[in-house]
Amino acid sequence: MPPKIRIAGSIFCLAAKMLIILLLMRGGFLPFLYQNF
Amino acid sequence: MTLASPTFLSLCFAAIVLGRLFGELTARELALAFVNILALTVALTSWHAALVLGLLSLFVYGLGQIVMRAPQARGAAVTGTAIFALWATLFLLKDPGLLPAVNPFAGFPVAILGISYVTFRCISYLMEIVALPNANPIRFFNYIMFFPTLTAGPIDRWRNFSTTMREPVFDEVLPSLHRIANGFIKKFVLADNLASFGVPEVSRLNAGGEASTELLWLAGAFQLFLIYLDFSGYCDIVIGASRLMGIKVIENFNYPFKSRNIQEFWERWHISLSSLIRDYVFTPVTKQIFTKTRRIAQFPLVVTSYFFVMILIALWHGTSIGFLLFGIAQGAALAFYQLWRTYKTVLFGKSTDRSPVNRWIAVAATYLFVSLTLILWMSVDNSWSAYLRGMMGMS
Repeated sequence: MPPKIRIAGSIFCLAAKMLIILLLMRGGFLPFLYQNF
Repeated sequence: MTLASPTFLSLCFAAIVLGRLFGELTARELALAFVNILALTVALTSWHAALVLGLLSLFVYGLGQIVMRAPQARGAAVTGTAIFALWATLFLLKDPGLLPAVNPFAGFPVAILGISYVTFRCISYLMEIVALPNANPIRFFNYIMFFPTLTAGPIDRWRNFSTTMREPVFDEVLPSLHRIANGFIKKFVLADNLASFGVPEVSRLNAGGEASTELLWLAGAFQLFLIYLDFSGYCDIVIGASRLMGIKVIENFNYPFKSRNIQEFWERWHISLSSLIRDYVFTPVTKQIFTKTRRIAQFPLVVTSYFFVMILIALWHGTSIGFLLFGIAQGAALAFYQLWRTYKTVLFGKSTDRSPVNRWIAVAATYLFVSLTLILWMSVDNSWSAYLRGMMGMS
């Protein structure tokens, strides 16, 4: 696999992980919605 | 200062930027010391704590200078006495109610965040100072107060920290960021959200009510996995952040749930602590046993040293009766495993059975044993005894 594609894939995965964290961590977006609405 | 707090993240950012900005060793060390001091001003809650920590640092640094210059025998005696004093101070500090007649902290409790870890780094420093001499107080300060590892480790070795400070590695940015993200998922998404599992049952028990026996067993069996998520997630964040600063911190876990026996488990779990105790306590003690005692006494003495080491590890976490019982249980399991390993061929002949079923049974038994003994850690008001009674349906 070309290095540029590998790096792009890695950054994409990292962004997905950060999204999961922001959505699901305690005090994150989804728990906030669940508690307030 | 939690790992998700803006304070911790800002400190990490500052350390990463400063570490990369200053290429020269002294400037990089001074910059890291500056960030460590900032972290300490947040972490320490009183000037008493700062004073005790400052005195402890001065004491250990001074002793290090003496040990480094002393002849070998005298150096070893000083190190041994100092390590005993450090252990004693740790116990007295952590439990102000312990030996109130001689405990200087009895009427004067001083809470210091991460004191167990700082003390062990001090011990590592004194043990390794002869092999890797140091006359640089800034490096010593950075070693014992390195802020990402301050609150819960890993307990890095002096040898490792000193080398990594002199030869930093800055080229692992993406893998380090992935490591941090994995740590956040383990700790703040999984562990935090699952932590309440079984808590209502325990609360009901503590309030004198009844609880579901099945749920208590399930929560007990789940305990180790939860602690793993929390602690290994924490370590992932710390190791990833340190790598971004160019500092390679020791790994703390090596697939512990693959362990097929209790000995293997303790070689894979909280490695920085168990390897330190193994290298500085267990190995020297067993070496003495094998060289200085008669053959017939060797096995019982080695078994006793397993108990001693596991009780030491347990009491390092806390000085309550629950921790003591946990240490005894782990020591007993290790001793039983040694007996089993020694006599199984004599009793049952050489086994050729390598079936995966046996392996899975061994893995599950090891996991369940450790997880269920972790109930003994619930030491607040001895709630572990109520829990055990509840598990037996006696609540």
